[in-house]
Amino acid sequence: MIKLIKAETHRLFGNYKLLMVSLVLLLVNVALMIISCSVDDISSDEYVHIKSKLLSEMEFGDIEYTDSEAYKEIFDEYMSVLLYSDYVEKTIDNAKGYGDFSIFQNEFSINNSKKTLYDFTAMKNITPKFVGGYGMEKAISFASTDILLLLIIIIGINEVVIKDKKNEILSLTRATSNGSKKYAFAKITAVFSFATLFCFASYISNIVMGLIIYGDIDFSAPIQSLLDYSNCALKLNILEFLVINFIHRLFVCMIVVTVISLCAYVASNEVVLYIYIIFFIVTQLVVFSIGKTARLVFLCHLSLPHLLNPSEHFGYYNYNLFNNAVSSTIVDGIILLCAIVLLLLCSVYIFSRIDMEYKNIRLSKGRRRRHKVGNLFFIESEKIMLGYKVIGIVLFLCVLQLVAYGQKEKVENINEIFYRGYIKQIEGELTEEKINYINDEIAYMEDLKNQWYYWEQEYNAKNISSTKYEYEVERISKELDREIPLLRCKKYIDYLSQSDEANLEIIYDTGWNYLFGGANYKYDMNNAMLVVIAIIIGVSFMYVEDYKYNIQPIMKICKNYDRLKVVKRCIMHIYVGFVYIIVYLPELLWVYKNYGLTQSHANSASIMRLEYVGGNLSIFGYVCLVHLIRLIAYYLICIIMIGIGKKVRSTNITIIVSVVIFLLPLLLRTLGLEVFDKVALNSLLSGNYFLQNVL
Amino acid sequence: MQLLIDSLSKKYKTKYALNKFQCELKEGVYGLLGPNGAGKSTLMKLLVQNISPSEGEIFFDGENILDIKSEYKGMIGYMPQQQEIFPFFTGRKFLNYMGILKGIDKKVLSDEIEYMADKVNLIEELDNKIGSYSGGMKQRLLIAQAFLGNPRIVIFDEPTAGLDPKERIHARNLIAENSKDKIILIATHVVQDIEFIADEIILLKNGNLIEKSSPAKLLDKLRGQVWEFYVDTEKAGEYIKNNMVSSAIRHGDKTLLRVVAHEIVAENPVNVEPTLEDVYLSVFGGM
Repeated sequence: MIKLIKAETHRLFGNYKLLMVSLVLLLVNVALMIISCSVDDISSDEYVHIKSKLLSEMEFGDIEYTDSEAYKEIFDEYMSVLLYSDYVEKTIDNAKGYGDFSIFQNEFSINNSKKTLYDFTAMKNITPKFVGGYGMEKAISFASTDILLLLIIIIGINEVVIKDKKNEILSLTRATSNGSKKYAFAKITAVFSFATLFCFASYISNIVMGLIIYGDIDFSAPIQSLLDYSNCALKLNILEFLVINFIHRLFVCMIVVTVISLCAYVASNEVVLYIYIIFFIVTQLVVFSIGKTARLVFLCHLSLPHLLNPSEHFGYYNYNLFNNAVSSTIVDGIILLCAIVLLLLCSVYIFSRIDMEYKNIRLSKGRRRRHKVGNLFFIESEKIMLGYKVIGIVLFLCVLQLVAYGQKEKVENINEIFYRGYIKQIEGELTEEKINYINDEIAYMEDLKNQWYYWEQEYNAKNISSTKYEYEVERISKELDREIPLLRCKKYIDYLSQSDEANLEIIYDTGWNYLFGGANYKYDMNNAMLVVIAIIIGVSFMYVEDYKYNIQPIMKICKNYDRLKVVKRCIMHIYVGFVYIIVYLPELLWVYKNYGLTQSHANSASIMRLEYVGGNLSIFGYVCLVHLIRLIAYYLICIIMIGIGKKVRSTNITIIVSVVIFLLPLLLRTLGLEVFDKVALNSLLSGNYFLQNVL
Repeated sequence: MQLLIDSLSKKYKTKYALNKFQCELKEGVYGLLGPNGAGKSTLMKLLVQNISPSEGEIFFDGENILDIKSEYKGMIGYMPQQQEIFPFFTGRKFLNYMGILKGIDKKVLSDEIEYMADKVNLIEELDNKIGSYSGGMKQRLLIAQAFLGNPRIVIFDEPTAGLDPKERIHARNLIAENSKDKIILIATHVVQDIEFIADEIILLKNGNLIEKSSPAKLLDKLRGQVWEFYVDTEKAGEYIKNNMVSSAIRHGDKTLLRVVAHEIVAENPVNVEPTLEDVYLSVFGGM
């Protein structure tokens, strides 16, 4: 048995190609983590800045208020730690309250209260402390890692099961004494070991990235120090929790391995296997959604999305088991173990019983049927998209964008709301009347400040009661909330009135500013990274993979080879265009929906950010120019890559060289190294940065 | 139909892969024989215009092929020396792809694919993925694509490489059956591949044309120069070292040697009929 396991494991770990794929997926995981952090509304720089101040024994009151998500996140974390004992006391009181009025409760409620009382009394001596663990929370619940882990499992199973079926090795080995049940177990163990390695590497890399981006944390602090885990009833420190969570992940991983192995044993070929896997994933999502919406907690708890979300899985919850309150974490753990054993037995049994014949996918039956002859464009597209699996990149991008923009929320603080309110009132042509209105408002603010001063003096002189004073201060303070946005407005109006450009208009520009790359062009760089990755992989396969099959000599002598070149070029244009749309359209729609994109006909210099643009170019014209520059940059990458591909004639080398030339500088720029602004094609890929330096 | 190759040379840096090759080909099967590095593949690549010559020209029916580039491409079928075909395509899809690339009329392509698949005995497997094909099946598929569109010149580079004996015979017969009204050029270093189907054999060595003649004439030239005789096994090694030995079969303490030589010093040598292997040996050297 050990020898069998060793042999199967060696097939995976000794396979250079598989190791390379794993490494690439690991790098993709790191890249996705970086992207996720950089598009996060919580700015990592600001978070680290505030966190370091707090950790250097400053009080929260000493921290200067900023109306940012990072400030809010840290404030919530800080308060959660500060009020933890109150939370525990309140939970205990609630539990006691429920127990006291037992006459109105059913048996489970009483038992649940007793258990809660017992569990939380034990939590009284836990003292969480502020650690600034947002990065850690993000690292251990990063959903993309789970998707990549699933991919690794599918690849591993494809290698040791489907390939063996295809090569008729399974039919052969099953005839041997050890080739049946033991062999099935060995295969599952091998894939599990392979997945464990990836699971470990990705888990560690996520934690390291989380620490690098959001700052170091104290691992000896209780797990309750992390905001999302404040209701966790486990007496563990963060390090111990990380270990427990990793073991839990391995259990879930084992479940997935056994389920997919079972599917692979039953499936007659890889396509059928993929259909089973899709069905499995959809079932899990449906079970999770039904469980959540229908409040069938049990269903929800046993679905993969819940199991892979540690803050939910390790949250405090008791099941009703025959009127007894039992911890959901323990019950889920036992069910997971039983499921693994059952699925293992099932897989091994099925492996030893059913026919292991590989059946080819017949696209059409009936040899005498007249077959339709396709045209070159469609056959070449099929070859590239399905044969070389480039469609996978497109689908991956679609899913990524759907997930990213599906859950992306508009961040709008009070200042932004007031600013929008002011601008909407004076939107359009700049007139004396509008300038006066803003000036009047500013004067009113000054008046309010004087009033504040007046009431303060009155109160200090004991001429008014404290109630009156507090009432007046609150009233004035509420009105003064408009001061910061008003000053922003004033600055904008001053800019417009002092500008030499003609036909300037007052525009609510937040949405436009987002489209122009945001602060430090970070949105530009993130989008460019996605497109460049898709281009590097897609175009390499489109143009270089043919060399792998040595089919080029036959194709080259064909009469329509020149037509093929045109067709390939068309497919490349469509692919790049499609990828471009997938990446940039969701951003445009999201901005339009959340901020609005008005007055596109206005002179672009109407937006302060675009003061460098002259020549009466409209905002729409500027946007078109940015897109044109980006497209030129992307096509430039394609052309250079085709040149590299023709020279090296290897898809892998082309990808590696292109990553070094185009992606690495972009990645370093995305990480915040501004020195890479002008390196390679970075400025062209941003478009906005290029125009700022040229115009 | 005539293909005239006029002083064709191909030079890589300082070395000639093909040197002033001069030859005229008419309808029929031509075997291009030579050891590795003789210039066979270079000649084929030049004929299919995959590379350009350093010197010389090729004429088809009196016209320089560079002047009738597109027309000439439509007349060529080519099977290179490899078996890697897109594994994700079905056999039908691949032939379809090649047919469209060759510019075959869509109205007849479907029928032609069926016809060729039937000829190469692949009709049952035509809708299976190429990834599931054996080496022989892939080779037959490549032969089918070479004949697709009824080309007038068909060029095969090592068509039987990597095939088992049964598949070799099958491939050889296939080519012979489809050779009518065509110029077929088969490059190989396996003599048996062309022994029975070639009308003429072209011998190439170090990029130079050594001989172009019918198999019968080549054999005639060697008649009286092939000997078989027994020697003591312990002395066989010495004989092999000093003579052109085409085969050595051990029978106990004696070894039966087959030697190509004008004269032979041995006990009871028997003069035997030469084969093309003996010709190959006499031109390109022996064991």
